[in-house]
Amino acid sequence: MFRKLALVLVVLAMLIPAMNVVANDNELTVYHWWTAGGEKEAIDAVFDLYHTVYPGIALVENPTSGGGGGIMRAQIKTMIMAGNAPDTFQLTYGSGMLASFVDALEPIDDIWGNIPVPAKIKEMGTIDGHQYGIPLNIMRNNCLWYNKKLVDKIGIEMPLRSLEDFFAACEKAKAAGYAPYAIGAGAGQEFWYAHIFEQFLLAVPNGGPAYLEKLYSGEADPANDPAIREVLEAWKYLKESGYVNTDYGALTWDQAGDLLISDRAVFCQMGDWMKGHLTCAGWKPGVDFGYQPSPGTDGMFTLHLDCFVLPKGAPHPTAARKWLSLLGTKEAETAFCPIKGATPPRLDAFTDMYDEVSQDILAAFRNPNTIIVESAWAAPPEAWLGAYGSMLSGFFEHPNVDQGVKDFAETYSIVFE
Amino acid sequence: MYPSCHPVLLTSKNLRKQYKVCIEDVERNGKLQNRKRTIQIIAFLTPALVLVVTFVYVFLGWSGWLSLTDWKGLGGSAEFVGFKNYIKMFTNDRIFIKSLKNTLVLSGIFIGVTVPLGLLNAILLDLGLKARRLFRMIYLIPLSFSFVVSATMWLWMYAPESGAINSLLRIIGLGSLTQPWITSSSQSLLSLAIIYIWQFSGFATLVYYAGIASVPQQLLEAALVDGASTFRKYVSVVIPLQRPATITTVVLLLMYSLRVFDLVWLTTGGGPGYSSQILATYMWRVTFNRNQFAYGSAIGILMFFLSMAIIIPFLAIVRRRGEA
Amino acid sequence: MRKRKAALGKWLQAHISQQRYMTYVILIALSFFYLFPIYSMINTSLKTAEELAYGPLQPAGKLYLGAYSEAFQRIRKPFINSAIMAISATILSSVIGAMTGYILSRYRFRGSSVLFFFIIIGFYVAPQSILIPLVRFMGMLGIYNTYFALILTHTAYGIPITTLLFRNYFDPIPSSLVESAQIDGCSVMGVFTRIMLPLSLPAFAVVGIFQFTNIWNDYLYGLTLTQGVASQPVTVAVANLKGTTVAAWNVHMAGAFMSSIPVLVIYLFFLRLIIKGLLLGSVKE
Repeated sequence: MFRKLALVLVVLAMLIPAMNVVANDNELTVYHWWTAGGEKEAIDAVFDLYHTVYPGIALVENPTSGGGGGIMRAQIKTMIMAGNAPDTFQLTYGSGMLASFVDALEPIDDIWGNIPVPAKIKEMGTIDGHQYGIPLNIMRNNCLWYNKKLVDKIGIEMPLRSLEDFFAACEKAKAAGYAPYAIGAGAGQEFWYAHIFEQFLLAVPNGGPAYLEKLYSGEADPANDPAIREVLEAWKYLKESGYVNTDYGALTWDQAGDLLISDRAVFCQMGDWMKGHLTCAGWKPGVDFGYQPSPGTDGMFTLHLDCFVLPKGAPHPTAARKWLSLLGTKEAETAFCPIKGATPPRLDAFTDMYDEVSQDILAAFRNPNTIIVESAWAAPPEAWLGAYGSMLSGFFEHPNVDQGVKDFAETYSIVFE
Repeated sequence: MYPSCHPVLLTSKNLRKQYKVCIEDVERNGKLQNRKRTIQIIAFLTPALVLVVTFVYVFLGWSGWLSLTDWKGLGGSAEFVGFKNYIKMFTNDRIFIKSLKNTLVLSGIFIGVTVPLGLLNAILLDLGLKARRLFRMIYLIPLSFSFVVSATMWLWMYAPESGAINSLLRIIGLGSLTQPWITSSSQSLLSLAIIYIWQFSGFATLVYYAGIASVPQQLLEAALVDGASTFRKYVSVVIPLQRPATITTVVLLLMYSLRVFDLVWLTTGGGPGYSSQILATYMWRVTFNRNQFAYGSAIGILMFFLSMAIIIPFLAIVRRRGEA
Repeated sequence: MRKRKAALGKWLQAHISQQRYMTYVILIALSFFYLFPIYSMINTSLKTAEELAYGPLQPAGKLYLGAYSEAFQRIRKPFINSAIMAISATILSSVIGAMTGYILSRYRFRGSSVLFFFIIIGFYVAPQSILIPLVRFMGMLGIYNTYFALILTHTAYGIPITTLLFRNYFDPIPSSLVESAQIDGCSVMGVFTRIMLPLSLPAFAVVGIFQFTNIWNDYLYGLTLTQGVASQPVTVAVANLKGTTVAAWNVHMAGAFMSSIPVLVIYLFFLRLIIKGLLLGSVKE
């Protein structure tokens, strides 16, 4: 009797989900990692736009925070491995990141059509001549944010044009009793080290955009390239001079921003999403905080774009396609970017609703003389962020340059295996 | 009711014939009963067998097969490459060796402290204090929390600037003793071990308490008659008899600590650097961050063999002990 | 002589109470170690956002329940998912364990102990060894990303330990009881339902509680087999509370505490059964 009951329960349990698979294209499930304040409102605005343009399609969002998207990506992979691909999900629009997933994605050249973006941008997302993602926004990475009141108080001359200027400014800040440089790369957020590494690599003598590109494409030789050593030396100097807040290993990136807000730290190198965090705390650009390109990276624009893709075997491909075609429009970019504090990729996007910092970034982006550089989020293989997050956090704790160079090279061979 | 050849029913007429027919009848019935019984036994065993065979043995074999391929990437193909992954693990992967080492170190600290602590607690409880039951509950409560919750609690405790431990130290004037805890590569394993000790010492206490309770009363009385103090009583009589409890606790905790994932993943994520990377978190990284599914399977299979190497001898010992 | 006795008496008195005193001191110190993190969690969960900045040791002001309501909104569905999953898997694995334990205990046929051994081994297999096939399999069954996948998983991996516990429970039952039932014409099924089950209600309590607490607290399978609030268990949802930017520790702690209430309640009120389960599963073979 019990046995039969148990068997019936198990069989029922297996049947019910099968009954749920009602093929209707009136549903769209979207996976993304925009859970923070500012980001969430931004993507909600796009969802609202989708509802206006395509009423009748139920939109289900599955935001998963953590790991700079890493956790969401791991989940997507298990879903694909289980044969349960989602309708669409967020990815970084870049050769390395897309390559990780390309075997499971549908090419969407038809949806892409002719979105007017700079050629360099389009190139970043092209794999074997095909497009796989629709970019929605540009995030600038080489930004230095600073507490303007403290900077004026300490008497630091902005802008800082080189690493030497930067270190001199740090010295002044330290003498005045503040933590000069705020880092928040605590547990689960170690990939920020890879981000900061990039800022320094662009600024050191043997580094620069061309070398960075080479590094990210797997063609560099870190064991012998002088640029790597230079960056590690700079980091060692940074750490040992006491220019970094002591709890860098326990804070998240936004908590590092909080150090600026609470007037305890002066500088922070973070992408332009930091602006959203600072303004959410009530700060005004030009009054409370300032921004400049990372020291030594004038004229360069390191960026990554967020995009959405179409997986093979998506349960609701029509609804997903509609979503993707909406994302490429001016309207979508206008709905999303100002709230997020990002830059619209389209060269013909509306520009009047952005604040002064975003205008500045936009102008830099559209300036034909700016060197556009694909950042660590997009260019190298997906494993880069995690692998270098670990390696660099270990280095940063006990900086030993010779060992660091060796570890760097070893990690390089693992990532580009 | 009674079978037809029961002595009560047999009449003297045609006794032998009746009896023979009846016996045949009972035998046939018996065989029928037997077959029905066998079918029912098989039916009873089927759910467990189907589930265990599938979820344990089929999956193990599947993992094993995967580990002998080179499956990488989401759409990648899986070609047979023999033991290449295993060779790579031991000769060409410094991070793997580090994670193996970390796992063993973590287990060592964890077990090395939990077991004596459990014994100590059990002895203290055995001293027959009135509040014994209350303390027993207090020891066991940490075991009730999932690792997500204990990770949450201890992250709050361990934060270097704003964490409870360091703040407490500062307040009582021991500010110089504040530590970086999980943010330091030299202390991350130790910090993790402390959390595990916190959670599992109640279990060790329990096992030892049962073990102490099973010490034969005569031995204790004999010791008292010989004039032994409490201290001597425990040291010379009770503790030496705890060998079975010790073996049980050590083996079970070891089995557990070899596969820990949740707490490490949620507290340090394996960092800083690779200082707290353990087998389970490394397997996750390799599989889901690097897309190296075959290599990840190989790590999983290695963990299986590691567990078996410990548990099978243990089960053999316990069985022998049970039969003794 | 009397003087010596008196002196000994006094010495003993001092000595014994000193021992008691030391014991209490150690026990209380250890209790502080065990309870402080829990107190910290509850304390933090009752703070307002401003109070969080004052320092971790500050006791919360008035009992502010705002964090709880916010956390509850976020983990409500996962909590229900956990309940459904844990209860179903507990029932299924306990029933199957009882059936299997019964057969292996009472019907020693050739190979039954080998069978038992192979089932028990399943308890000691690390999840990492079978994680990837598990995901693929659930996908093939079409129940990936539903709590059915979790129910099936926890049932299957719960069978080894429930079988062990039930077999050990059924072993000491005298065979005379069973034999007389068999003579009366009871079949295997009959013996099971009419004799074993009624006798094993205490065992069901112990096994059920053991399974429920373990399944409720699981994280790895929940993380791997489900995504999204619709199907994830409460453990995964609480872990996600941390992910959102501004570390709203009070919300995080509130969520964590709420998710531990079911198991905590069981520990507080059914401690005897918990202890039995832990011991039976470890000491005996």
